[in-house]
Amino acid sequence: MKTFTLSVFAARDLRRRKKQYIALTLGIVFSMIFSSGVLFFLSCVDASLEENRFRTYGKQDALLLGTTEDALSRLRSDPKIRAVGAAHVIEKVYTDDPAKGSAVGWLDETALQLAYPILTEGRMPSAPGEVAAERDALLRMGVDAAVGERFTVAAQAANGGGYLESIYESTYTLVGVLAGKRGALEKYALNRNVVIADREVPTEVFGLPALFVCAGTQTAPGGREILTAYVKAADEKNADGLEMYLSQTFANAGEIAATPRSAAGFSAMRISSLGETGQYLSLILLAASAAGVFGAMDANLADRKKQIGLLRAVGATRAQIAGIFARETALIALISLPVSLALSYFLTKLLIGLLGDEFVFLPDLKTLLVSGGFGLACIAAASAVPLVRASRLSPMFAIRGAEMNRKMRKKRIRSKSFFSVSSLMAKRRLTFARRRQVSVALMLAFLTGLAALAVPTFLDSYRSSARLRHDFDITSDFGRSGDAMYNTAFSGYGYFTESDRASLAANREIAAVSGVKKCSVNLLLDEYGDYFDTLALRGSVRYQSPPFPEKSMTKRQIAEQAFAKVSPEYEAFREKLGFDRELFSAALCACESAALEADYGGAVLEGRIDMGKLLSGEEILIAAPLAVGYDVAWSGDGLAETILPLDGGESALKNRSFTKTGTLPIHAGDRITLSAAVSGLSFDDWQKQNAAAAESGKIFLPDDLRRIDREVTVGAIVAPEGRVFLADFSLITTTAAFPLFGVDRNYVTLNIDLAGECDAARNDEMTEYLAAFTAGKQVEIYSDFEYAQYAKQRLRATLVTLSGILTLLLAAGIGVMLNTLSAQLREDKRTIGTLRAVGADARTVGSVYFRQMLAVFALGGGGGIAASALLFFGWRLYTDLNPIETNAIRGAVRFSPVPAAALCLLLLAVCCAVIGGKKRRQTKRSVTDNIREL
Amino acid sequence: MTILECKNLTKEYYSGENVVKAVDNANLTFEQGEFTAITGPSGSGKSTLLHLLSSLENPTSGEVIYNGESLKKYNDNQLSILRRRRFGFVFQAYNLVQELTGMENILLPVMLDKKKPDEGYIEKLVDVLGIADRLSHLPSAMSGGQQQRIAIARALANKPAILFADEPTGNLDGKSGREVLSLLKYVSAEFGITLILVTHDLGVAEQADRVLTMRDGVCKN
Ligand SMILES: Nc1ncnc2c1ncn2[C@@H]1O[C@H](COP(=O)(O)OP(=O)(O)OP(=O)(O)O)[C@@H](O)[C@H]1O
Ligand SMILES: [Mg+2]
Repeated sequence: MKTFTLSVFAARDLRRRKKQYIALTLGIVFSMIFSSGVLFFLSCVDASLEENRFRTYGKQDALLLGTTEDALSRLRSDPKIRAVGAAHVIEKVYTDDPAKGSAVGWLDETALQLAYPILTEGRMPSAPGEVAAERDALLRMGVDAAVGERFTVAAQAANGGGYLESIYESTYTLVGVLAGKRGALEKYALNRNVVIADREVPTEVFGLPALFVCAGTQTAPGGREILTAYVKAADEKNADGLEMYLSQTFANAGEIAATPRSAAGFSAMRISSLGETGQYLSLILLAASAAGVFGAMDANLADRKKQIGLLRAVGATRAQIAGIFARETALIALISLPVSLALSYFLTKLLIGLLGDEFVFLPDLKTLLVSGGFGLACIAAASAVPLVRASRLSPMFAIRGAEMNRKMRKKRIRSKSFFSVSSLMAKRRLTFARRRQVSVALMLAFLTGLAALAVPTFLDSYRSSARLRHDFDITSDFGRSGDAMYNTAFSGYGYFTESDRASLAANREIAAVSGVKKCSVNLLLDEYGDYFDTLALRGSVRYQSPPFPEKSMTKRQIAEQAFAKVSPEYEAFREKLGFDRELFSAALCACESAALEADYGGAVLEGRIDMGKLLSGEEILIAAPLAVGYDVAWSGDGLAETILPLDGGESALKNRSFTKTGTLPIHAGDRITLSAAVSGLSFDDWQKQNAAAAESGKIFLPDDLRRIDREVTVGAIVAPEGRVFLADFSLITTTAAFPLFGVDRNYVTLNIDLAGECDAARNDEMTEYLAAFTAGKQVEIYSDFEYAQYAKQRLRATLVTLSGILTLLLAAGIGVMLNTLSAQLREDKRTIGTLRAVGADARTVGSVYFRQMLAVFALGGGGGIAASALLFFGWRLYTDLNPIETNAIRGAVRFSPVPAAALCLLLLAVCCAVIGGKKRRQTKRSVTDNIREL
Repeated sequence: MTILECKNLTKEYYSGENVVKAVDNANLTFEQGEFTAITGPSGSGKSTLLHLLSSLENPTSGEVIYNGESLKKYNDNQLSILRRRRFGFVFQAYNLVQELTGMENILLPVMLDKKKPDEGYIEKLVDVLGIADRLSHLPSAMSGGQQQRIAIARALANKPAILFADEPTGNLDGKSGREVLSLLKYVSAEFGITLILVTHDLGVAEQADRVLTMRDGVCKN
């Protein structure tokens, strides 16, 4: 006879409970897919960010521009450096403006690997006379050649440190177009000492080739190549310190430029924002999957309590019982591990593929191993508790179900003498099998809570992702630069001149360029009043300079003190220019009439827009909230001041208690006086002197500072939010009338509209063109197209991730719930038989289960909705109380019980259908079939 | 008057290749108010016969006729109603609902019928069965005999027309067993309940109006 060991028993048991084990295995597979998928995903986020950085800047850690052969060989033998490549620059080429030229050169093999050129078209050069060029280099020079075409440019040969004077012509065949890297490096790695006015000698630029010829190409006779070293640190972790090391050890070996360590731009933003979302989601998912495994194991245990009791009764030791469970779990884990790893690998790959091409899928062996280990650990942890509990069961306790008696006493259950069978049964089941019901309810609560928050939030962000107005904006306007009393009173403020604008407009790709100008003017007031008092606290100029309040002061006392004392800076300025009225500094913003109409036409709160009078400077618009509220509160040891625009007027004011509120005292049709302070000083000079004055605690007022006053009529009050000028209080005029309010200035922003529709290729071209156009300036380029793409992609990515996760969660949730409910149904076989034997019809039996499910769903679904509502409104309350820190995120989250309720009903329907089917199959069999024990 | 009869009643169980004829072609009639005892060795098919007669099990062939109507014509709902109003069943293994207390188990058929319980009657049952102090306990806190008596009370709670009892005194000591039996006889006389009882106890069988003996599925008077 075959010996009957415990493992034989375990295996036989496994076979007998096939269905249950399939469910259990599925649960485990699900949770392992979650956990390892999350790890894969996170590793891909890192890999994608790195890949993105490589594509933007190349793989090198630092560049040494204008280096020497000697330095190169020293670098090659340096133990701190792993790889050294060299770029050989042979000449610089341009069409008519030498400042818009680029360097031509070739890279040795190592340099080529490090530089990581990305061909968008064609191939790299392989024969003399061939060239592959970065797209923005071609754009910058105005070379219009297609791949395969020849072009001729003016050239100057390199001579080691610079270029020879003599100009000759170079003719090349364009064989490939590359994505631009020089522009990014120039902007983020080389801009430290860039002298804007002195663009004639930008060695940095010319030492870095943007046009590549085949290796070994010589300079023109009499020239000597410029060498640039591409350096990779030996220790990846020490790459940050490389710049320091190079500047100490290779001080005179060339201009050192460290490659930025983090990727930039929208794609990097996307990748990292998804990574962040992924992290939070992964935590939730891990918890959910652990709960799933735990629930499955627990149900399995409950299923077998009696069996365990019997085994214990015939003499199995605790260790043996635990051994049976452990063996089974191990067996299941071993089956599910490869399956789930493979599945999560391909699922992640699919997901990453859907996210767009800046994501790369590069999970390494390490991640795979960690994922596997992690999955096993999850299973082990989740099964440990039921395992220990199983082995602790005392034999009779398990056989008799003495637990129930204990619960009965604990819960003080009263025997009923009149009852509805189905409702009493359902109630008792809920009491006696609480843990299991709770796990189902929790799962449900989790799902519904997620649905209540995630679905409306997503829908909302989908709706609000509106298309933007221009195709591109280039701007030097970083916020409220216009709101100091006079700091834009200087010549040269703003970057873009009329000729910049004209040269952009001359580009055939561009249909229209409109400009925005900005300066600050002072609005003359007889008295400040509550409204301006409140707004003034928000400006960068403190009209008041109150002492820091005492901890014991009340809100009102703090507020009174805050508004009482006028700052010496303000007094000094008033005195200097001889004002007898009060001054409120505001930004005067000017845009072209079409833009003005488009931006403010629909936002008029009071009055009307008369374009003729705006163009002539007779009228002006005020973009401001009609009411503002002020509140102050202690936040730790600091003071949190809150100034809220209360556009909604009365109702918004009522929702919150403010220490101070004010309504706009100026109305459409009023006459106001604006006074600009102007000086002949250049902006840079002013900045230097002002910084020096600020160090000694003074305000710097130039000698030639004078005021230009102008009286105008307020044409209309317009709403300030979401418009072009993001200040709380600004004055709006047209560019035509702008000089009347002081002196004319350069544009701070140029809005660019392309001829025809923008697409990805044109966007790349235009971005590179604009990058070249604004090279060296402190300017941001905003591509509205890219932003819209980014928003769309982000939405798509969120949609894919969210719906994928929700589906998986839903599947897992339904799985867990059904698993639990069917386990119960199995256990209940005998009860069902008994009920049927004493005359319960199938409907009564069904009703027991339906009531039970209804209760669990009401608890879980209601609990989920309530919890998410609590979370949401709690968060709202929190942001209301701490608006300064949290205003920005506040708007992002939405809540609606509708999708949650719908989900709940759907799940209930699914559960009812499945459980109902199972029940029907059970009641269909003869009564004794059910009663008979196995 | 014949209340229950069966014609050519057969039940076969299949276990792999083997066919077990648990009940083999039984033709029996039961008169109203009659007390029938079924005896026979273990595994002879007594329980199976009882299950078949009480509609808890479907026969392989043959039919059961209650009050002149074949149970084949009954649908599941009608069978349920029959079971809770007209039949009472005491299982060999008691089969109490574990989640319900003693009293609740007793009242189960009455409550399934959504009727008001006849309190005096139930009290009397409980009293005679000696289970008054166990009524608010769960079955898992009762001894085997106590569970058995609760099961008997449950079977009688609705004053059934026929009481099927599978060894109702098997777990009781001699004295209790006799008391339970006299209760059964008393109610059967009082309410005209037909008793069909499986027993190994010859003393019990002696008190029956009629004794059926089973051997290998075959039933003999
Ligand atoms: N569901 C079933 N599947 C297979 N065989 C069964 C099944 N139920 C009963 N049997 C077989 O039918 C025969 C009759 O069983 P039954 O339970 O009716 O015997 P019994 O006379 O009540 O025995 P006891 O006096 O021990 O209670 C037995 O041989 C039994 O093994
Ligand atoms: Mg039997």
